[in-house]
Amino acid sequence: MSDDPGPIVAFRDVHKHFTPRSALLVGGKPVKAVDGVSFAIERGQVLGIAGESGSGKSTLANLLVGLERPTAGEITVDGLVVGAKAERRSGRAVQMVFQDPFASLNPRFTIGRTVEEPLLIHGVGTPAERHEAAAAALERAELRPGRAYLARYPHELSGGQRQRVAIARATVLNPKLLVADEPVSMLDVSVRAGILRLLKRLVVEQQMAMVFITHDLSIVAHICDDLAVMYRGAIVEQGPVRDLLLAPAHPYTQALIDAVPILSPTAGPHALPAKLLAAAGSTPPERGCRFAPRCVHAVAQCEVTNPAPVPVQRGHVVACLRAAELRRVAP
Amino acid sequence: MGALLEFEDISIVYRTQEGEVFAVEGVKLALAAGQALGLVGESGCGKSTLALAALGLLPRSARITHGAIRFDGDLISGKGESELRPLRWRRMAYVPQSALASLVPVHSIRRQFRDTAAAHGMRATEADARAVELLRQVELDRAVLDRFPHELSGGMRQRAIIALALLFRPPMLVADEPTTGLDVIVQRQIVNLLSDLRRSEGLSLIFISHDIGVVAELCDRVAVLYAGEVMEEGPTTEVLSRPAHPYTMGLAQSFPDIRAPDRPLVSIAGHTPRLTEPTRACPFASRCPFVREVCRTTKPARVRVAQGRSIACHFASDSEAMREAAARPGLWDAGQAA
Repeated sequence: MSDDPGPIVAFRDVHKHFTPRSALLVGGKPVKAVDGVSFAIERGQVLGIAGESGSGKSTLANLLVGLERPTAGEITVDGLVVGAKAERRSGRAVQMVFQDPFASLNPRFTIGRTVEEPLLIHGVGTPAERHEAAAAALERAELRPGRAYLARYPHELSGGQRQRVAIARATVLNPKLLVADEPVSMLDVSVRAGILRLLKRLVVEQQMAMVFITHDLSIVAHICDDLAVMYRGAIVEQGPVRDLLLAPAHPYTQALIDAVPILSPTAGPHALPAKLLAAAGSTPPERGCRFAPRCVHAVAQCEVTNPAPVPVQRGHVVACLRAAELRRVAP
Repeated sequence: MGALLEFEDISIVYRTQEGEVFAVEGVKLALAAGQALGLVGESGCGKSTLALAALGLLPRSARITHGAIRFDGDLISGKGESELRPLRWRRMAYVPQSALASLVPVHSIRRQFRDTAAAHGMRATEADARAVELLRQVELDRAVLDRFPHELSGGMRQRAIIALALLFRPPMLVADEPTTGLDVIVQRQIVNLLSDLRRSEGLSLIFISHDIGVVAELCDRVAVLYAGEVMEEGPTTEVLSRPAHPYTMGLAQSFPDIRAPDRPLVSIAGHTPRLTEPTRACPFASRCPFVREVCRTTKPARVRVAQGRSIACHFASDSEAMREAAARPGLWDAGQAA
């Protein structure tokens, strides 16, 4: 099945709804954390998922690693349905890199033990083979020589080195999909680029797919091939990362880009439309576009019609009724 | 115009179980009244220690081993708690990183205003009136007064903290990573709010951040710190657009620009030195692509490179050539894992 040239990861109209335990919360209505999301990722490709807190990006990560099961829809990785009991192998196929390399490594485990852990869990190899595999994974993560790191402890390493250990652990089993949840946001700025390059190189070399979850749109161009912007459980804009950054069409994507501070401001701070802020925490509308209550470009039609994703260019789709007229022109 | 806050050759040492940590070493900085000074740098560069020292809030394990801190001409380093208390809130206030921990979780916002007011001699009725006025200023509904911290979003909480800090109309705010961890639209709202307050209230601001983009938008001047020392200081736009110190050059290039997705990002090979012993070398020597022998043996003094601009580098006169070479991304990544 690994010769299959199709996408390695597929989300097909996936929904994940949570029913509040208390009917007092949110009026007892289910919270649609993921509300009809579809995408596919090819081998060697990185899909960025961007959005604010509450956009559903963390639920999406949990669905990918099988921590949550979809309410509806199907998720497959390398042809295997994620979360299905009969397909235990899917657990090996998906590995995760977390945000905080200080919390994600057990301080009492040596680096060797940490990187070998997935091999132990899945009963792979003899002790000698596991050692060998751990040292090799550390070398691939540019911690050289790998053997020299096996007996060391996390506290002896810098934040960037720890994240490399976490990446070695996540890739030691040759997964098909790597899910990286804000993997550089806790690291010093001066070491971030090196971690992004490492992740990208491993994705290409090991022919994996990667989902890169972030709230920071300024780094996505340096790691992602495609980008999906999520708002309240749905993808509102998706396409090649440069297209989205340079010619965004959805008003929400535009707001996210405009809010990023820039190094050489020529004018004073960019003012935010009051409407964008005012309705930030409100409950999503029953019908119409989910972003309409915060959208400065919303017209009457937006209150009634939930926009379907439409292409504005090859591979670039936007869920906005006014996408064609609002799309910016790349400089 | 005299300086409102001055760090005069200040050194701060922490005593830890593993021995002493030399967190701040010979820092000279001044904040003029009405100005905003950004302190930027990576973890362990000493920026938060300087903030706490300015407020007289250093933990017991920290000791000022050299130099002095002056606020409005008065020596505040070495002062006891009883002398510092009247200054805090009334003359200088602190805005920490947005966290539930910075508000009392079991008290309503109104109660937080009243308690702070009472502790520093303001009546409850006056505190209530001032709270309403301040909430309007930070664009929060007055209904927030009867809410508890956990009922507010991160951005609302941070605006409530800023409103509380302004209770006594202090001339200076010290904000330590006040937007870190917030969503980008909320961060923009906080940056705009602080910028408005600077204009309308003439607030002076010490703004600490690892995010040089936020500092670029908010601060007139910036000090770039590395391993407890000031590497470069000057007007923000000049320092960030034409850095003179190699560390600033690397830092600026490792910071992504959303408007220029094709500009390569660099990472600076190596990592920050352990600060467990005082060093005679330039602290950046082990990671500097322009390092020469003298850098490993002698600490460079901070020298003026232009009007109101200084750097701590032996090769200050070569900064033009270094900046040209530094634009080549390959210079920074020696293939060594950091």
